[in-house]
Amino acid sequence: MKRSVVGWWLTVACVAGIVGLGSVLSRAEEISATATIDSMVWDCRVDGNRAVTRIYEKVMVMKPAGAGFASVGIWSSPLISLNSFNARMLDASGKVVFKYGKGDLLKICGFGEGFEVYTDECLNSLDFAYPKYPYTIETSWEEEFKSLYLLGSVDLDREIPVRTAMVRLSFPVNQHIRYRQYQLPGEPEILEKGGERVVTWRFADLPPVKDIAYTPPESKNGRHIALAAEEFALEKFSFAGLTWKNVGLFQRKLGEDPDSLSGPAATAPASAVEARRIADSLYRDVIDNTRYVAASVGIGGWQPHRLAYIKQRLYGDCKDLTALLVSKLRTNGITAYPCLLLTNDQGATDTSFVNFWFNHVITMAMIGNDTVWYDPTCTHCPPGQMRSDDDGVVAVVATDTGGVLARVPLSEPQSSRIVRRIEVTADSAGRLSLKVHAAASGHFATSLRGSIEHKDKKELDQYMSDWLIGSRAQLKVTNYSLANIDDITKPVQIDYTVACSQPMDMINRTRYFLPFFLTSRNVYGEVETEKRETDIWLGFKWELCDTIIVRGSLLNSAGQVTTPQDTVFSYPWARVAANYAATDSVITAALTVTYTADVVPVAALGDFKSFVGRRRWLVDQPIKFMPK
Amino acid sequence: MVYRYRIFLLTIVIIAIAPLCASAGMKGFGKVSPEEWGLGAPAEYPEANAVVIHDLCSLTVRLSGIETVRWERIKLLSKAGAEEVGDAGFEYYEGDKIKDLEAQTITPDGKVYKLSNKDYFTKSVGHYKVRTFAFPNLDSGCIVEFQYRTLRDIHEFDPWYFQSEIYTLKSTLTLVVGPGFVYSSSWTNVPPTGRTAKPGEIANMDNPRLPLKTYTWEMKNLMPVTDEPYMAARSDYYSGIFCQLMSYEDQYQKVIFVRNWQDLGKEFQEYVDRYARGGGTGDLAAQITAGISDAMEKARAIYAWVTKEIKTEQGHGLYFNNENLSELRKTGVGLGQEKNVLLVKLLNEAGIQAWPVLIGTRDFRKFNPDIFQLSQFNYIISFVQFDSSVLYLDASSQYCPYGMLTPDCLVDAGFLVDGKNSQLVRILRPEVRTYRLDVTHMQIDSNGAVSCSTLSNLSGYFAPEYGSSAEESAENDFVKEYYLNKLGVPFTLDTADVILDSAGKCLVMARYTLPDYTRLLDSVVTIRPVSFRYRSTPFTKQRRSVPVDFNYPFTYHNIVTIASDRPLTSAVMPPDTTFQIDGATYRRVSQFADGTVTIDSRLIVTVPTFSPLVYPGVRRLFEFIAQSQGEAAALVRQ
Repeated sequence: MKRSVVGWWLTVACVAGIVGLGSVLSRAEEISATATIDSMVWDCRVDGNRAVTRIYEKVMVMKPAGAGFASVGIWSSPLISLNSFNARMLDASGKVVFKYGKGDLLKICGFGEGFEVYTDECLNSLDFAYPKYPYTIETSWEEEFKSLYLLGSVDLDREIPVRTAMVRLSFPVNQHIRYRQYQLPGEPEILEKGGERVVTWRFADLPPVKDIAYTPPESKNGRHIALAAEEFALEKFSFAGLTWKNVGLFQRKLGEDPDSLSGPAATAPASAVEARRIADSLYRDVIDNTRYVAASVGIGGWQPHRLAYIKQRLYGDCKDLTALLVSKLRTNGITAYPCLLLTNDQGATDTSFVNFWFNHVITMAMIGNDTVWYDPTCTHCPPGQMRSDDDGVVAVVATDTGGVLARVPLSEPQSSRIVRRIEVTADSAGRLSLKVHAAASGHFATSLRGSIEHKDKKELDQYMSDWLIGSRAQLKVTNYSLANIDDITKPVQIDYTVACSQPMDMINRTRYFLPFFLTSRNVYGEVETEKRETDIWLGFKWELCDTIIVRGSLLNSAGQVTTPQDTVFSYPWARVAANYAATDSVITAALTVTYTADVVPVAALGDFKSFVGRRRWLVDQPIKFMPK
Repeated sequence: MVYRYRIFLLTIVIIAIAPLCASAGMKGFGKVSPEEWGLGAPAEYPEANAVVIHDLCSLTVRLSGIETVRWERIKLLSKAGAEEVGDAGFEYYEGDKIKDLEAQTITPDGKVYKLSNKDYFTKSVGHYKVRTFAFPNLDSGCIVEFQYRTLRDIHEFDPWYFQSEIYTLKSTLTLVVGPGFVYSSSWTNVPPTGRTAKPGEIANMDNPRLPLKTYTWEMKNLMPVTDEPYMAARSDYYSGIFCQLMSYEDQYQKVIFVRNWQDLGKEFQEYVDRYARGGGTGDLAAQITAGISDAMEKARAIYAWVTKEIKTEQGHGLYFNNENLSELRKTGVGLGQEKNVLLVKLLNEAGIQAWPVLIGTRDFRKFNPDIFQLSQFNYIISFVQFDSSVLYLDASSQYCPYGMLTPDCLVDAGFLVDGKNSQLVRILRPEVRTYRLDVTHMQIDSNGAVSCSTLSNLSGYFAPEYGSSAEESAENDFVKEYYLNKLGVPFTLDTADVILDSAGKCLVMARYTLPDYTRLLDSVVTIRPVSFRYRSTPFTKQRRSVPVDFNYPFTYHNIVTIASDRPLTSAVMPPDTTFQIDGATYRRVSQFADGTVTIDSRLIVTVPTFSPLVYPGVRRLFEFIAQSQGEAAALVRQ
């Protein structure tokens, strides 16, 4: 599925892989001093089913690190032509020192996302550099969109300050183009003249955006103006009437396939249980026997291939594999539909503004009175489980009667768990050896299976070692075994044997042992809470359960063993419980952290900071072995 | 002459590096034998997800050009193999004509799924092309194969690599030449026993009385070569053969395909001269060297001017981004090789003998003097000759001290360009001490947060290695990427500075705070001394098939002092320790005096290259270093 975005933010997106919870610290203050956009103009004129856009940018580069902000990268394709390009470089005195034309652009064609064997899009790029600062780069180019389907969004989110920006949209008064601005001040000026409506937005002194980790999907799109045409044609397919219903009908039209309609209507399964069994089995059949590969040519970015083609090749992109699964489900008497969505790593669908801004297609099946969702591109997802970036998003279900908005179920914390039982043997000198039994389920299992599938033995050894001990150099995995890798319905089980090169810390003859030494100490510690204006998005709900059992001669040789106090605390988004028990021969410590919500509201940032600190304090609490 | 793109900008997944060799016509896919269906993972590489059953290439040489025929057959041993080889492709040059491309999947039940014409796609980056396609119906046990023919109208071969990223059971190159052709060949990583071609003959359709001679080289059971830390260009480790056509002669004509190095030098000289024409270099040289009489001082002044006044940019792989020196001076921005041409021209204008020298950088390709092809090179450095001494210079970074080369230019040999007097030269590397001294003071406050100041002193090859990265980014970003992010803990960077001192050392200074770096165990604070290198071992794999190549000997010296705002009364410090292998030593000494803990650790690598045979020792050393750096000091405060 391609996302249609115009102008400054023309990207092609489709889901590839599991989205992690990576963190990016804010760099806004540092970056904003390196370059400034003095002026940007986006001027689009709609005429019939086409739109011609002229783009102008003037960027002043003040430091070497700002040079990249003046670079251009313009996508073109058979549906979006780059009609012209000009640029010039001015030195600090305003003298033009260099001029560039379309021929200076480096054209890279065919390379798409990781899952795309080919795309018919080209990236036209040019970097500018000058040895003396400041210098200014002026660029202007004209793009032509050969279908209004491609109208998507004008992006005004920049990492550097924008002094002035103007967005102008012109279209005949008898044509209807919808627009909505997000996170932008003021209202547009609307003029009608000579049968044309001109909508103009003007902005001044837009501050640089902050790249904030854990931003919720709703805030990820940042400052932008979304556009959508009431009517358009995409090759032979026409669209009229911007409603979600019609969006769904259009998608159905794009995916119409005589093969899927042939043959007698199938008999529905006898019961919901039977239907679920069949549906799961068909989903397994698709993910087991197909590859997630796309070759995007022409409108192939939005239109699925014919079923015969997909069946013959047994590969395809998200809409192909969904078309295949929907066809199989229907053939077996199970009602199923393709569903359009925007994955949560890319943003969130505004249900009150109808447009075609999607980047993924999944499958929804009606079973009994319930819905069951399948993502046939997710080879490692058990039936009914989505990728983490599908989790809880709004989708447009393309039913027989049109599009219907629905929310993909948000998984519960108990469905994505890491459970570890860590058996520690400590000798009288405080030397440790470990046996660990770990089980990963839900999104963790999916991620683990996906990460290890292409690794050779050496890489796998390293990955599995890192998975448990990370950068704890004093630990070394001496052996491990994996189970349930191929059975995606079960948690991945890993048994480790771990050697420890350092004895427990001993201070004044007391030995200190941190029972939760395998638990990440600083989870969410890097989340900025001081100047944050958005909620904290944790991605999905999850749970960690660590149980540590300590045995060995150290317990006999110690005069007294002191364990931390049992601790329980909870916040609206998480529950934490630590329990300890000690006998003469065994000490047990158990830590359970349950993230019961996927979002921490901005109003609770102070509490969140407190939660992170308390959690870290808990992990730092030692068990003490005092001398006799 | 057209100088092609030397660097392929994009990383692409391809089954193997495509050859541009030649042969005797397509024969179609043969049947899959029972032995091939029965193939499993090789005993020496049991984790293989796929194996190349064979990769067959033949080159047929004609006066009109070279025809290549290639047929590669791969067996998928697991489902993961489908992802490894499912999307295939091969590179070629813009002028090559691709013919008769066919690809197919054969499933274990014997069904054949052929690709149709619309399943083949062409990607491009400038003059480079990639033909790409996806195999259908893949699963464990399938066999996939493709074949194609290319026609090239110039008589230049690319190397044929027998090895790839996938275990290869058999790889064969056949050279088919008619009477009158003379060729030569050389090898990399091929044992002498494998260098002898198996001769043969095939019918000559053009002249049945004069059969075509064939020469076939074959290698079997080749381990895959994958990227490892501390290695040069991956292709340098492949087993490969480099063929070149020397000449053709019949009763009517004699055609020389390969000119000697002098001819190539003359040709490249003309190319450089065209670029170096004009530019006002005479005046500029006079201006830079005004008041200087000593030739070596003049050279030093010119070098300093070029490194500082012309900004270095990353190019598209061409030798020159600017049209000529005039444009280079006007824009003030150019590739490293353009700066070196300017350096040579300015030195010449100042009366100093200097020449450009072509090299293949370490990350590009190792130079083979037996192959008369300029395509072996991707960079230009400068050679300077004084009355009693010589120098190699690379003006790409102001952090590269005068008299040294940047690390990527530390190669064995190059090609000095001096018209018809051009010659192969050995690249001399001066004996410099490559030394990094990090001195950090850590001050623990009452809340357990740690205020740190680090001064990192980088000399020898470390200066250009780090300095060139610092030149390309903001100072804060550089310090974060190369220093603070290595700690793996939250930090606040207060100030950062990167400067070049008068002795040619790169100095990195940073002040920062580590809010959650200490742990409190009752009244005792535990803290790990900061360190920025080898906190985890780069050598994670059990075995290694290529040498560990550090490029140059070096010392990494880390001194950390730890103090507290509440006076320290006692400390339990990480124990003194030493780990030594042939060619490398790690040593750590700690002391507590006057309320301050000092931990002094030093890694000294005296041998730049370690063979795979001693890899276990190297691995143990770096594991030991990583473990040692994880050890904390326990401090008792008043």
